[in-house]
Amino acid sequence: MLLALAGLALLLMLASDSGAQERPLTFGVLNQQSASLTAERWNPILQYLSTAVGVPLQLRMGPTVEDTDAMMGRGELDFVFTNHNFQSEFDGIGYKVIARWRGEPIRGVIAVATDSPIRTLRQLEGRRVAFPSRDAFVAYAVPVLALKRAGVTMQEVLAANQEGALAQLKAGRVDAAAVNSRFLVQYEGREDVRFRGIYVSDEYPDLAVIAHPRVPAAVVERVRHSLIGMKSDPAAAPVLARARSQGFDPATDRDYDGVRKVYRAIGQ
Amino acid sequence: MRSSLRALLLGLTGLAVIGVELGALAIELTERIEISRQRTASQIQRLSAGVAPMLSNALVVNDLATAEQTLRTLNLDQAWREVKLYEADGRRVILDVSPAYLPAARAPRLLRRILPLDPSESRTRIESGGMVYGILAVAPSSVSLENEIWDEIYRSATMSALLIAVLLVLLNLILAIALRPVKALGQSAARFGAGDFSVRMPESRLAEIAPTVRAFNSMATNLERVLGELQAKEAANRRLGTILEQTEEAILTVDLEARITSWNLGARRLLGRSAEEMRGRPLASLFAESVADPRALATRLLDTRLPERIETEFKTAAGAPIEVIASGSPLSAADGRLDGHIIVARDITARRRAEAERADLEEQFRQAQKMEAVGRLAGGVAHDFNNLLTVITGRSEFLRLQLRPDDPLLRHVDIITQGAQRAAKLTAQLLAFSRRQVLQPKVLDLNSVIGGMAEMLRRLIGENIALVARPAPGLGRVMADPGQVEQILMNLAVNARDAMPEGGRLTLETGNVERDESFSRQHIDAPSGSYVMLAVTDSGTGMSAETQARLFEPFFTTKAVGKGTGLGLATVYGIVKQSGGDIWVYSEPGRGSCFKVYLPRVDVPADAAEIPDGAGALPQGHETILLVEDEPELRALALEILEMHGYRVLVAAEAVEACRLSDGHAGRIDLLLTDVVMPGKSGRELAALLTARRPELRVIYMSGYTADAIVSHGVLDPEIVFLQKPYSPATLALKVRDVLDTPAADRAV
Repeated sequence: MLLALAGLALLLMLASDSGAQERPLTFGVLNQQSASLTAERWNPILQYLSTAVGVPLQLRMGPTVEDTDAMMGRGELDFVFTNHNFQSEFDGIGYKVIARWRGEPIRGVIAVATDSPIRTLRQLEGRRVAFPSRDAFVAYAVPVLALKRAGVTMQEVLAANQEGALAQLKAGRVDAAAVNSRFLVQYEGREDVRFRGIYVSDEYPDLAVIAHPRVPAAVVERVRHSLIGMKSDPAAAPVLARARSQGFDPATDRDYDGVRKVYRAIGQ
Repeated sequence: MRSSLRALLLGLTGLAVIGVELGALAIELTERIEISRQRTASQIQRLSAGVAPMLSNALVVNDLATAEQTLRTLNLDQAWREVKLYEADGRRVILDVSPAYLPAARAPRLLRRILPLDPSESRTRIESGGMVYGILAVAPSSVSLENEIWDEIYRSATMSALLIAVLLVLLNLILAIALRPVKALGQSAARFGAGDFSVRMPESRLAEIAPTVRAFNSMATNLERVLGELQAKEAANRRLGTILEQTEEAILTVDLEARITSWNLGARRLLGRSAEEMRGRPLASLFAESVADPRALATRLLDTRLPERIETEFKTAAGAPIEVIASGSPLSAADGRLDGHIIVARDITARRRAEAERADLEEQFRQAQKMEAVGRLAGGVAHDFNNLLTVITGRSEFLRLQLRPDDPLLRHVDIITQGAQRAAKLTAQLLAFSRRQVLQPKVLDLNSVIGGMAEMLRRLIGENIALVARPAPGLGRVMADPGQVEQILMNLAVNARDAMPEGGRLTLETGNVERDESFSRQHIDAPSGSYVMLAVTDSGTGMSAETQARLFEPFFTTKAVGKGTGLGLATVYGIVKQSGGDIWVYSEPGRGSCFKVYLPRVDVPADAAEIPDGAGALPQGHETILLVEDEPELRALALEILEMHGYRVLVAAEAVEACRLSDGHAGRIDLLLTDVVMPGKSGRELAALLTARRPELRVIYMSGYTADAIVSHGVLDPEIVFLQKPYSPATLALKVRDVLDTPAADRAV
């Protein structure tokens, strides 16, 4: 009888496992780049993880940051690569940090054209400053907090993403643009253009991979394990190189307390 | 159709420009199509590079509205006729934003059919990071390309037209300048062609034209000279042609197959056929049916080895033969090769007729001479016969007077007298034939003569011969001896009767005839003028030519011995000729004969009929008569007769003696009775001498035939008193008495 019950339980577990494997897990990514670039970067990673974890992971994101955030807020995403979850409005959902994007910490930068006379934040008073969106952290929340603390009132120009913000600066349509320091370097290298930073924020950890509480812990663990193991797995090297990523490092919710403070400081 | 050099050059230039333009257009179109294809490929590539990421953005976030908007934005210019988005597996269409309507095509449908401008559908996978989110299927629209090509064609055509127009105008101007010398050359050539051979072109300064101008001028000079020579030759040929055409001879040419190639007017006149009708006919067809072997004769005529003049017969269009003399000569072509023959034929019918007429005239002349000779002979014989018959007759009368009525010798005297009378009649006929008888002409109406003799003639010819008289109304008069005319009718009627032993018809016809010179030429001794014709026609046996030739000879007869003397027609002949007329006979054996007597017409009224004196007692006289007669017997006879009737007679044998007697006779001589023809002076001369000496002397001439001394052409001069020998004693007595009794006012010598 016990054997029969044990066998039935095993079958149910297998059935449950096989059903979990058949239903892909959704993996949301914050709209830092266009959806296609995001997919370019993340689909190889997710394919790698699907293979490694044994559970298919499918990229999901909304057309805009708000949409993606809304999806996250509705709990539609099993995993999310973001830092918006640290805003107060998402505190009740229960996402947990399982890893973070490996690399140097990111900083917020306010850049101007190299020939611009603007040298200080104060000189941005009344000027047009481009931001990716109000959902951005180091490209909006951090620089806005700095401008606020500097007592500067500027004309906020939302350029949808960092690419657009720098493009407007390059075109001279704005006097300054706020982006993260890592993107600024990439943009300058890609577009062969140079900007001059008049503000650089403190360091903040890069975006985190968070897991929804409904995702089985074993799965979460295998995902976390696979993510962290990528930087040492030769098979993941081409995937990371294609995603221009150094891999992932372990992280916890506490690593992002500074982020939570900034959001709270600007009312988010 | 004529085309000018300018038009040709302009046309060729236009075609060349059109060809170049078409070639350029083809190249342009080819390049444009290739560019279009490359552009399409580039568009598709750009689509992959540009649109695909945008679509990818939308599809990654499952934003189909954005994807649709992106695609619609993509095809705002409707450059794509098909824009579809399929699922990743490529089976199900997610979005279809293909335009419902494409831009209106300006290009003709034909062009769209010709040009393969519609590219096929191109599919692009929309993927990102190795994940395929969909497949974009697009197909470019060729309307824009077609419109562009059509615009290019239109532009090229317009430009070509403008270019052609400009080029043609420029080329026309250039050609007008360049071709001016050529045009002048053409005008000069046209004038030259129109006959102005004096035209010359001025020297040209253009090196391309100058040699042509010089060559033209040289050619013109040479042609003018040659044409002048040709015109001279042509004129000569025309003259020769006119001569050949107008010549009386028939001139025709034949080819080497002896077929007629030309035919002059003389030939047309001769044979009555036109050149068109005869061209191509064989030469042998010209010969008359009488020619035995026309082909052989034609060959003979064309035989250049033995050229000869051939007398033969051609036939006219009516088929009548015509005598010609023809000769053939070879004709050579310019290279000396025998090219045919020329035939010259002359009508010799007239010549033959003239020859026949001449022969006929000669025969007539010969016959006339013969008749004249015979006449002279007969006249001479008759003269002597008359003298003898006068003696016989006179002496017979003397015997009769001396014999008693019952004397048995009186019968012999009668026989002698009758024989003498027959002999005298024969002698008279001979004299008539020889035109030596003495005529006493009067103005006669032949119709009256015929009318008066009709009954007598009917009895003469008998009942089985019908006498038909056809007197012409208004018949002219003739001067003739009535008795001799009656003699003519009698003799001809008898001759006709004898020619119709089985009966027939004798026609007497009269008519006025004007004889022209042609009649005179064809008939010897037949002068032209106005004549009265007496025709005596019978339906008898007719006569052969031989008979006709001797018809009027004395003593020529075709009758049986004893049936005719052969003097009837000879007498007629003599009377007619002595009367100034002529007689012609027309006869054919079996078809009868016609004698036509022509007597000169006179325009005076007819004389009244003379009633001869009746017989009575012989008168006596006492006057002195000088008798001159060279014949002794006649002289003696006349002496006895005159003395028997009471006259005193001086007798002489010839004129000299007579003159001597007259001169020696102191008394009156009342009458000279003299012979006409005597040795020495004639009776007429004697009379002239004596009457000159004795104006009261009256004269009677005696003769057996007429002589020039007292008659003119046999007709007795009006003043002459003539006694025809032989005469009877009574005749002499009556004549002498009559003359002596005639008042002096009525006499003349």
